[in-house]
Amino acid sequence: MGLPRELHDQVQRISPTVLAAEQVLPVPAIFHSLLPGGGLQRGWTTRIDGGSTARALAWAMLGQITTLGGWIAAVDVSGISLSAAREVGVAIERVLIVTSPNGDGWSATIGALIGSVDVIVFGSPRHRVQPREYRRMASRCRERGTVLVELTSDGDPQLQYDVSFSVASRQWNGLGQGFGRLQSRDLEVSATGRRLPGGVRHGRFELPSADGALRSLPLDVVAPERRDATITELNRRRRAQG
Amino acid sequence: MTVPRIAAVWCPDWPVVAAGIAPNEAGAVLHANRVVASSEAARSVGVVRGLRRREAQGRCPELIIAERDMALEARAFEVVASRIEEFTPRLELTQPGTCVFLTRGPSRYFGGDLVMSNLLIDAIDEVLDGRTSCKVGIADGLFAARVAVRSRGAGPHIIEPGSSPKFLAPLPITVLDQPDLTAVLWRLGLRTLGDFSALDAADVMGRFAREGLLAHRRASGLDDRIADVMDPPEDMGVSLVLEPPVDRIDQAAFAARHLALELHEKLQSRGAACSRVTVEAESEHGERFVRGWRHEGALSVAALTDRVRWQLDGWLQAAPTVRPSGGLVLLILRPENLIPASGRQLGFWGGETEADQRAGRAVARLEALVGVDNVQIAEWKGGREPDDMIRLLPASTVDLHDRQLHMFDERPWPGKIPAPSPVELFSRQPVHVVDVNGDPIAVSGRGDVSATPARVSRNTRQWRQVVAWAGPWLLDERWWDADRARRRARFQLIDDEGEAILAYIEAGKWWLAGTY
Repeated sequence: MGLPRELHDQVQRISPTVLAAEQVLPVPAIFHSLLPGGGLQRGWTTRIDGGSTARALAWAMLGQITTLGGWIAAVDVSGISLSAAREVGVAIERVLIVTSPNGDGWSATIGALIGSVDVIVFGSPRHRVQPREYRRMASRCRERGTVLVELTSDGDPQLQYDVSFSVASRQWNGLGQGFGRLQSRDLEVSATGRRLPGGVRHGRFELPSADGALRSLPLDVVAPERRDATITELNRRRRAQG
Repeated sequence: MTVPRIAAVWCPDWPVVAAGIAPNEAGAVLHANRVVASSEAARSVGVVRGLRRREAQGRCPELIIAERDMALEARAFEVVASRIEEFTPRLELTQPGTCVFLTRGPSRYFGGDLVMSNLLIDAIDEVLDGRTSCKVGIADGLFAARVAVRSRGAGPHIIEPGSSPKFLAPLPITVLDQPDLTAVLWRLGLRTLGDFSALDAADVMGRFAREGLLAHRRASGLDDRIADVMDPPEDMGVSLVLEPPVDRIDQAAFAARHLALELHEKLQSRGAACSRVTVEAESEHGERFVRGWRHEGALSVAALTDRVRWQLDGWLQAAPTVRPSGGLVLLILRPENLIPASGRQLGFWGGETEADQRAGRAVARLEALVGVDNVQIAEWKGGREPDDMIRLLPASTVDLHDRQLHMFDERPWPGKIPAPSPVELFSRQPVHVVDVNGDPIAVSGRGDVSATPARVSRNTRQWRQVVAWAGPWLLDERWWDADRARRRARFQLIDDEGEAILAYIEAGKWWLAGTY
């Protein structure tokens, strides 16, 4: 599996270099506790697990990239809701919405976008994609500096992700028994991955919030292992329910 | 350097005329729900540019409304353009309804500016047949000519040679039609073109860059051409041989887009853009049709494509005597007036960036791969339901470089459920909401709920308990339009898994609108 070590080193040495300042796509400050570098490193492949809740995190994190002039492509994100994206600060005029053709056009579609947009957000492909294809895609992203964000609700990791986020909504506020309306959600996010030193990182955010502002909430005192189990269990239960 | 003498011909209210609205009828042409042109009769009752459809109809209930169709306008103007071509071979169209030409030759031939103008007006009026009048303005320099043609009063407006600066000086600064720039100048206390032109050109250049310098030259009655306008080398044109010959406008338009892209890339590789282009078409029987198009700034791909399409449309659908007798076999685009492409640097007021250009190229590549309708871009529209608020357009129909954004339009939509919006939307996805006895929840015509929602399911097999809910919020919109009418009662529900959904009852059935 993989390249021989010498060849790998060689590839690392001759691959094009990028200036440090250009390497990070900035995310709002509240997410800096999850991403120590202050943003998403160009070329990363990431994944957000958590069904439609994953989208809430994705839009909140990527909004700042679009307002700074960057482009996002959303490939096969079914039922995409750009009004929700707009509420958390995404400049929707710089979002391309792409539907890939049936059959094997999926990789070609993603391939055409790599290097042209800053972030590609994609839902799970409708057909089976070979692991080899995935790996090739990831290495092209590293070369061209595009960040891949996979939105998923089913478990199997397709790639070795640089960062994987897992989200679970803990509580909605504002809705009662026959009165009120949904106003804000207490969302718990954990991030893990080979690019994150120090194991699993946790964050708690008010997302969405009643006034559209992004806010982080204090982490509570439950031991990390315990809370981890809750999120995983919640996700597993959701998948079991279909 | 002498400033060339230029004549501008303008048919007022051209969009209205092209839409087939008679001058004595009250009519208006709309684009994106805003009035872009209105007839004389409509203006007299207050229907002016910029009004919304409803406001316009409120001021004039019997108003005839037409949607804007640039291709139609261009096609209709072709008759006028070919008449003007009898006076001069070098005609430049700026947009349907307006064109300009150099007067040196024609004026000398017909015996002076005034004589030529009167002849021209007579000739055009004959073609227009009373549908509208036409105006002619002659002055030194393009800008002065275009201002002159818009002056009030009948007859040609001829500004004597050398007196363009004097003519322009007392006019208000807003005549420049560059709102961003004139807003700044206004705040600086410069109220007339004369005030502005009195500034030192170097200072203007230093503060407002190229765009400001261009405006300064216009205000001073000088030519638009700045020293950095280059004459293109011979090989800059692009051509396309059409095999087999093309006689349908949609095929021609496709070829036009292809060619426009090619020209754009070619220019870009030299770091240039062009503000004037000559489009040449040839039919299989050797008939030729040449026309020049001019644009205020640089012509983008979409703008270029539009102009080629308008021209071909006009030719292919012209009167039988003028129409080509066979299909088109050759299409040539020749750029003129090359200007440096503004490219990478963000302009003083924002504008095209390198990222936008890359995205634009990706759109072109993707279209070939997934089809035009599968690459879309969103436009904020506003509405009461989450699926209403956004309009998705094929990205190829949107000029990514030169877009009108309506994102600041935050006026309220009464009846909309306040933010946050659902993050995933569903269409025609059934959902089941029942009370403790398992009976479906119903809502009466007055908005009374039959029972408290107790359980919810998407497939009637797996049920979840409802832990919180609110509603119904009634919505009854567009009842006058059978296709788009909506009458529904909306609910928000949270189940015991912590998932929040937006669901609604329409005609007695429950549907899932979205999940939060």
